[in-house]
Amino acid sequence: MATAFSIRGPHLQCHTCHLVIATPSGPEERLRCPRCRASIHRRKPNSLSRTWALLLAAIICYIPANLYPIMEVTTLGRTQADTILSGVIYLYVHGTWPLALIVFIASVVVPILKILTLASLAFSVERSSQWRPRDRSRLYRIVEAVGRWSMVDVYVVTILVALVHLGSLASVEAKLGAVFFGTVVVLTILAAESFDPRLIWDRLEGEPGAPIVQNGDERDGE
Amino acid sequence: MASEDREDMERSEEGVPEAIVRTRAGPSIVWLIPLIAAVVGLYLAYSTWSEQGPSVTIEFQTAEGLVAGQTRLKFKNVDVGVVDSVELNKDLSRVHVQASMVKELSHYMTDQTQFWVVRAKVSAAEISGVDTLLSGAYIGVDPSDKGKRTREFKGLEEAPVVRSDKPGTLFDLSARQLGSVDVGSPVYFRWLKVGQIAGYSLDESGNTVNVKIFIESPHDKRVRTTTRFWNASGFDAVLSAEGLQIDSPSVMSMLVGGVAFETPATVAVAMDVPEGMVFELYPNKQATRQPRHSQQARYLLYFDGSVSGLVPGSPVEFRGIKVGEVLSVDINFDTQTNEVQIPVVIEIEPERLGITQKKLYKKDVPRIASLVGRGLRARLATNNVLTGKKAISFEFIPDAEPVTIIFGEAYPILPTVSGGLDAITQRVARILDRVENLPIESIGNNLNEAFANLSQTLQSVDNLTGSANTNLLPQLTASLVKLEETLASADAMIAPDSAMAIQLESMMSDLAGAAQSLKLLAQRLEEHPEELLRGKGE
Repeated sequence: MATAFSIRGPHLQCHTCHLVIATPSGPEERLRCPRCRASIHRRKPNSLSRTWALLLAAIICYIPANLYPIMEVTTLGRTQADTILSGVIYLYVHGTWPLALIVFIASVVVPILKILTLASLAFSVERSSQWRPRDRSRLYRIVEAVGRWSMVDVYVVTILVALVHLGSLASVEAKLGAVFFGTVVVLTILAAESFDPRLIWDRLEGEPGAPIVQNGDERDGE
Repeated sequence: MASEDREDMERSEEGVPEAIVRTRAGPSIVWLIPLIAAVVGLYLAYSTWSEQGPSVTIEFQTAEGLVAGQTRLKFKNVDVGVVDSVELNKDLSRVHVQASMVKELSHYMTDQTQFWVVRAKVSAAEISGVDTLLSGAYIGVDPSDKGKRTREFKGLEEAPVVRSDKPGTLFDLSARQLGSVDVGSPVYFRWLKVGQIAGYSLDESGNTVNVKIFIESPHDKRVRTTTRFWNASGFDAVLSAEGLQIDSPSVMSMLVGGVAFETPATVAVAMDVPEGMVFELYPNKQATRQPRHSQQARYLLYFDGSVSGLVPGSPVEFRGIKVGEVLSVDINFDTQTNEVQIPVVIEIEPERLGITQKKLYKKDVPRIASLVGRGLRARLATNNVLTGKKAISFEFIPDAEPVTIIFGEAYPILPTVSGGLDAITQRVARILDRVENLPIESIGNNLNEAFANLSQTLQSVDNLTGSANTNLLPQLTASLVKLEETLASADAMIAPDSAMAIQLESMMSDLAGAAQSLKLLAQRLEEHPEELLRGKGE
């Protein structure tokens, strides 16, 4: 494990242009990259509290996202409003279970797993857990990668609303649920973004029980 | 926050003291985001909760066309609710529909509120609900704030005729047969559609059909106590002295049936219809002229003679006006006395006599007794000489033998007298008896004597003529001779060569001459009138 950029290390790195900078002698506030002028932090500022706040907001928004219909389909005067779950059930009942599975995973499983993963990561950092740091950082990478794909649902609704405008024959309207679902996705992406995975390693280094780090490190390495 | 504190602490532990890093006091701005999310979420929850109307349960026979989460409840075609669930009840006999209403209707969920399913309906009378073919059935609501608050309703299978937004009045009719009347059939006044049939049901007794009709305001004022309703389906053909009269409504009503009403001019005063009044529904317009009444009193009559021509349905008349009809004609043979009696049950409608009291024959025993005491008797009368139809006629017979009414059996028994043919036969027999008693032999003897006297008289007349011949004839001959002579002398006097004739002739010619000269004078005077004064000139 490199210790150059650790919490007490002698160097900093610019997040944008990746220039390695020596630790300034003065206070580490409002630092700027000498090359690209991007702001430099040793760690993301207020990382944990931001993550928690955004996660909490996402959890709150997830409730109306599921209770309110996300879209309303009007076909030949018959109006049907569907929430995410009722849409899944509708697809399943009408025999297209693969489609139902996709929608279920993308719209229900993934957001919940994302929120739970981020919450457990933040919690583990707060508790200065030393449990499998490498697996935890891998989890974080997965969450970050999956994040943008959660927007698929919102895209589907937007495309349908734009395309299906056949007057009285058929029309699709986005409802309140879609707004909240989009908010949930955006908030979890932001929460994942504001979480600093380096904190996982800081805790291992910073704690007095160094041998555990060593052990864990060795075990991970092996 | 805890981590930052620890960071500071760790730094201060280093040998070289460093400037204290100022940390922002209080919670980070980022916490505003969950706060906003919470506020928005709470607001939504509150608004959803506050807009939530009452949840009601409606019971239907069938859930045909009803889909949970989709089927709407509509009032005046405005969405007022949505069906939440459709379930069977425990014994699987009915369907329970759970629906949530909008908040505005929460004050209208009373037991007067009606629910019914609107489906596409195509009948001879109307085509309705075509829009539901595409959009699916919906539940119609007729909210009413009168009545007791409730959350459980019994849904109607048909759209109700009477709705709170359509003013009008319901009337009760009673019919012998329903005829071709159906729910929704029109009600006509002067062939103008003024209402609809609201419903019908069999009376508890099973004798009549109760029909409810709804007449829209302001036409409901046309219904008075004396109004008569009749079944206006079919057409009405009457063959009378005036020829064939056909009274037929529109083709529509012939197809779908209907009820018409009219308020004829009657002796009874037309008044506003009191609560609970039941009108009779007549099978056709003709029948309304012989009104039926709700009150019927039954009596029993016993006849001794033949009742041929008397059938159930024959009229019962009082002084020639129909007051009821015959219900049954039977025959009773008494094995003890070998006597035959014919019991006839009749039904009289006391209202036709202007008696509106209820249960007439139970309460009015003294009245009937007094009528019978005054000589009221029933008798058989020939109604139609051609067909031999009989009727029962009530009459007051002044010198009738006094009798009493017997109330022992099912119906009071009224006294009868023989009448009609029976009476005639008796009278003829009486005449024949008298004829038999006449002294025909003595009459013959008297006649013989009379004839003898007559021949004597004729003889003397003959004698008288003979004497006239011998005495009168010679004198007559002499008179005729003298007359002849007188005529001959008169003839000679006026002959043409007689002196008298010659004188007459000359006198006539003188007269002609005088007339000639008078004519000349007149001519002259006309030409020269002045000569009258001056005399003849020249």
